[in-house]
Amino acid sequence: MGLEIKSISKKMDDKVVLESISFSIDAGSILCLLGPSGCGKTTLLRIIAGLETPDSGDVLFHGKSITKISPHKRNFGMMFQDFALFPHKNVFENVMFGLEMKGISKSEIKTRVIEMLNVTGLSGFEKRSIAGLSGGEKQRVALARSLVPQPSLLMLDEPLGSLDRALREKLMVDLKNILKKVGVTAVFVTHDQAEAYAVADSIAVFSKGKIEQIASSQKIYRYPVNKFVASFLGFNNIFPGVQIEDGLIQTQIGKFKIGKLPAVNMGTKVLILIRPEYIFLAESNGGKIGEKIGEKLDEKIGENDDGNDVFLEGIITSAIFKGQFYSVTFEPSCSAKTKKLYFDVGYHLNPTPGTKTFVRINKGGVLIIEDIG
Amino acid sequence: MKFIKLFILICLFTVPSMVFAGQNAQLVVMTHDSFSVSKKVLKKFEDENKVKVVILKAGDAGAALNQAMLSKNNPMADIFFGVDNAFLSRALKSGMFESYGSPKLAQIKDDLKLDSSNRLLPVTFGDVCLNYDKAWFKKHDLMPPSCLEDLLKPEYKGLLVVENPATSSPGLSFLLATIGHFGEDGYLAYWEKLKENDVFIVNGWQNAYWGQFSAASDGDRPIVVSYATSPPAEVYYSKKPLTKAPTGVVTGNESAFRQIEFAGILKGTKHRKLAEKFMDFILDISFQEDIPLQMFVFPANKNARLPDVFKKYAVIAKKTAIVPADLISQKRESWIEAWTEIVLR
Amino acid sequence: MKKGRYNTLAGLVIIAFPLLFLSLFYIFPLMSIFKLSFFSDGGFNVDIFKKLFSKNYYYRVFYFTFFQALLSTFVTVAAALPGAYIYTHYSFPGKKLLKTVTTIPFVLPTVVVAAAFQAFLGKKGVINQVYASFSGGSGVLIHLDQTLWLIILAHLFFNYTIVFRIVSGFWAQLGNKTAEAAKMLGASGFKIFIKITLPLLKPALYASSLLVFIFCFSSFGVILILGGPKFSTVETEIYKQAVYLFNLPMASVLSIIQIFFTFLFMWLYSSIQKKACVELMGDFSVNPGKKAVGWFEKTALILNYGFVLLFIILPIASLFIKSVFSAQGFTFSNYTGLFENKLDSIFFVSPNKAILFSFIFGLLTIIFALFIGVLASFGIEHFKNRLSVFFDSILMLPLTTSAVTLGFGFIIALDTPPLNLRNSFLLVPLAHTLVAYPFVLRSVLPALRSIPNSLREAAMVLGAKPGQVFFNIDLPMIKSALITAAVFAFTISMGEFGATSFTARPQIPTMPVAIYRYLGQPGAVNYGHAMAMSSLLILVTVSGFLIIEKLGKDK
Repeated sequence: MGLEIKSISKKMDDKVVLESISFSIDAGSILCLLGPSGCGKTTLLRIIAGLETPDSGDVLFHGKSITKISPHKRNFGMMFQDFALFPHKNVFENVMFGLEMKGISKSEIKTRVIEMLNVTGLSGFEKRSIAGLSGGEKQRVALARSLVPQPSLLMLDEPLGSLDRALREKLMVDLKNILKKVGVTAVFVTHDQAEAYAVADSIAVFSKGKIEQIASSQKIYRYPVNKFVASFLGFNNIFPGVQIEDGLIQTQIGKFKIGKLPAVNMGTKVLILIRPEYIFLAESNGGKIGEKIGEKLDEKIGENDDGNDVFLEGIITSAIFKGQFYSVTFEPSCSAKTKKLYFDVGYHLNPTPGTKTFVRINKGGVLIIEDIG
Repeated sequence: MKFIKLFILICLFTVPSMVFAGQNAQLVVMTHDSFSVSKKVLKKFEDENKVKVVILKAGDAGAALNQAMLSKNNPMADIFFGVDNAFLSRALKSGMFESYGSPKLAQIKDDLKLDSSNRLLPVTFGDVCLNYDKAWFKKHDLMPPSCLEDLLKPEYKGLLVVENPATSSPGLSFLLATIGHFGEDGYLAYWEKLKENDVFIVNGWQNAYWGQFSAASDGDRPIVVSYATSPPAEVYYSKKPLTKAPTGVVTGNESAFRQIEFAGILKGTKHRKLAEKFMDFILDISFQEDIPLQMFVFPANKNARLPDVFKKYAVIAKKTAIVPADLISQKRESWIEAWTEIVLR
Repeated sequence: MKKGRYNTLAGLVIIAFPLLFLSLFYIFPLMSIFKLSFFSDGGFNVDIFKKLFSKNYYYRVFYFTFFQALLSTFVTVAAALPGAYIYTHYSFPGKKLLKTVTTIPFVLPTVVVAAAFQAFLGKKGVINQVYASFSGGSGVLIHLDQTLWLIILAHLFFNYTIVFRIVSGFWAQLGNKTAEAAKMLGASGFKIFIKITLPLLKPALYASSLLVFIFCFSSFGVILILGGPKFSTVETEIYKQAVYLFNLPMASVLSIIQIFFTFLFMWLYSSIQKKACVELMGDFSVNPGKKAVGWFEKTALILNYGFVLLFIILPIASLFIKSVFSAQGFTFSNYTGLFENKLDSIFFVSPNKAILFSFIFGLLTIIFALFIGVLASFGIEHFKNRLSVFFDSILMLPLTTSAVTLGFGFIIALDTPPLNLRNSFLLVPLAHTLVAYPFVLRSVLPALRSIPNSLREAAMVLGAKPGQVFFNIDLPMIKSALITAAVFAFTISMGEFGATSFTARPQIPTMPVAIYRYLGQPGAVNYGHAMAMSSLLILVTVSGFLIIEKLGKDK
């Protein structure tokens, strides 16, 4: 067991920032704290680093409580959102700072810094001043600086937040590679799910000072446990429903048969989630157009009570061109209130707003996410 | 750069040592900015009495006396030098001086001894009076004024610069001269007329002399209130040797006021014997003869010989305007207030 | 996330020493004086308040104090604003020199400035002489002696650099972007200035105006010497009452009123400055600026140069001219004469000694003032809004308090061991420190506030102990502010006369003291020596701060 957080709570200005947080991370793995801004994830990171003290609870590292140890004695590393590079020092001096503080010999400092600059792709940058670096270079310097003292735990606070999209996508991969190469235990804070998937081994989703779900990246994507997690992960198609018979959920847009159901009582209200990648445009309730698989589809519209795909009739209300695909909004005509479905359609299908059409929802793309009593 | 750092270090270590070097017995004399004495005269006293004389300067005459009075319960010095007759009663009333009937008093001019209790002994005197620019009057073919009344004449309009009695010691002395001359009932009327005749008022002597007086500055006022000893100073400090003073003085007809400077032993001294010796010393010939060129005032000792430059160029008023010291300390504030209302409004 | 920076307890520990210094050398002496003034006869003396409020005279003094301060501030800001604009937006030859030159007035003792102004603007000054030679007559073009305008001009001369530096520092940080955006939206040059630039500059304008106002509010030498007896401010009135009328209670009442107003202004200033966050004298060579193009821009540049030349350089230059010219023509005798002790006086000050003493006091002042000012800044930085503004304002008070009141306070308060400093030579650098450390505070605090806290945290996480954080992060990052603060402390110490002249001290004469001594006696030689010593003072001060800047860059 690497890091263990035990029911940490923290208030600031009488506002609860963290409420009894507990979790643990295995040595060598990367945990991502994912959540909207202001949800307390940075505060938690600062508590782990020792920059803030919790009101109650305990932080254990390798089984020992470190809550009362001051930050400079913890041998942790931290990468700040703004990188916090020392503007009065050059790249080499920035990177060597941690080693210098440890009182390591000059010659060793030199070899270790140069090695780390190699790993982070910064060879030849030694004498450069911080002001002259690009965003990506700064990020690497910050990473190198936090890694070179060989911290037993590395924390990264939105390390890619201030970079542009293309750079961010490239650096996500680099970051993960470097972290894995060094083999450091890491806690990574972000509000961007793509970043979280790309870098983390496991993800903890935060909301208002609480952990909503903590699980491996794949698992959290496949089975978000509640509406907050689902919508934070980018799922839009969430509908309330009621179980009317065993495994059959009635919603405003139709009935869905769900194979693997958690134990839900008859008549209880639930939420179902329809994954966008399981929604296809169809020419009729017989399918076609956006089909990939030529399945046999002759069921009644709006039903999959026998566990088959569901067809819905309705209107495309908007289609936003995104390059390879269109983001489509579809309004099923059967729903009492205007409930919409969101999904993507290949660019070659050229969906036009106002078109009356059908969609097919693959039976594998429907799951229950939350028991809302 | 190493050199500069070294220099700084040396500086920081030398000062304290220079200040505190060689302290055996110490006699502290508190005085004002204008006090001065020659090295060799003071050295002689120090050697003879095996004492180090430390001189504390505490601002101008007013500020220095004030500080001495404020610290009377825990005096910072053994001797105070520089109470003038305008502040005499005030200083005596504060009770901070110890009486000492120095044997050297016998040599001191009698008319200067204003304190019968011998707590404050007269050391120097000088007359505050009108100075005029000789060259200017010659150029304009005008006679210099001979008395205070002359200043009201139309031909002297716009020629006089006077110091503010509220901020300047010669200014106060000149106000006292007018009070002594015209009386308490008459002086305000005189000033009112002076004002009509375009008298110019400045706050300090330096301002008047170096800023307005045509003989000493770029100013355009040929008559200034200064000291009767200013002409010898002008000669002594001229750039090229002079045979005549560039300035003249007006001392006749009770137009000058005599400033007498006193010194005394401060109550609470722990060196009473040494203090007495120092009092004797400043009344004695060698110090007294040193006074004229050091401070440009006259020695109080009758037997003191004057330097040539004084003999030739300095004037002692035959009869000065007199205002009793008690009356001055009683009325000074109200006189100044009344003057301010009339002249500065 | 800001929360983490504030730590009231740590702040109190750090600020304890500056507060102790303030209490010992400021509050305690003042309280002693007030106690003596109001409670000397056992009970509280109310009469003096009655007298104060019953006399029209004092109302006039208050009115005039405010009036001249307001007018001076307005004129100074109006004059310095175009200068700041040109400085930040254009590159031109002599740019750095211009900045240095505008600082010089700050070091000059008032009596020297008065002489310089007289030499320049007086009835027989340079301007009138030039006019007379052109008109052929002896007509007088300007007659400013003892007028309000001379006071205003002198205040402009002294304080130009404050507005100039604060505003141009802020302006440089603003950059051109917003103005460019406004231009794109079709605003004209003038409209941009009124609608965009001016509101953005507000913090810097308010901060610098308030500082100038405070200085003019407590102006002493300028009023006394250049203004003449007709003008009286609270500060000159305190001096008159205390020194010449022996009316200590009245001086004390006036001091209290003055301190009250200063505190009020300081409070305002600190609140504004917290937002403005510009280093008082910070380096602002961010944007080199463009070259002036076209007749309009070139004329503006020349006009600006002309202004600085006329009101700052010429008065200073006239001092140098006077020091080498006498009625007999060009000569160095004024300088060589400085070395002769014609009278064998024990108080003779050889210039090398005066320079040495001034230098040593300057160094001691730098050390004391930096120590106290930096601690005070660090302490204040630990407090949240209200408390930080409060301590900030309190610690700034010595900047304006009447030298007489304080000097007299020293005499009665600091009279028992271990504080018997009344006749210690340390009293001089201590008095200088009292005036200088507020400047250190003012230039270090904004620099400190501009350091992102994450830098300190990053260092901590990397294993730096609190002390190491200070020496590796804070100190190097406020270095340029420290250098300017050191320059200030040194400059103030070199030129300071008022505070020292009211404290009894053994004879360790500084250069301003020597200048006063020469001006104290009649004779052309003395006047020449005073001019020569004043010129030396300027040279020594300027070379002093060049050395400080050099040392700062070396490290």
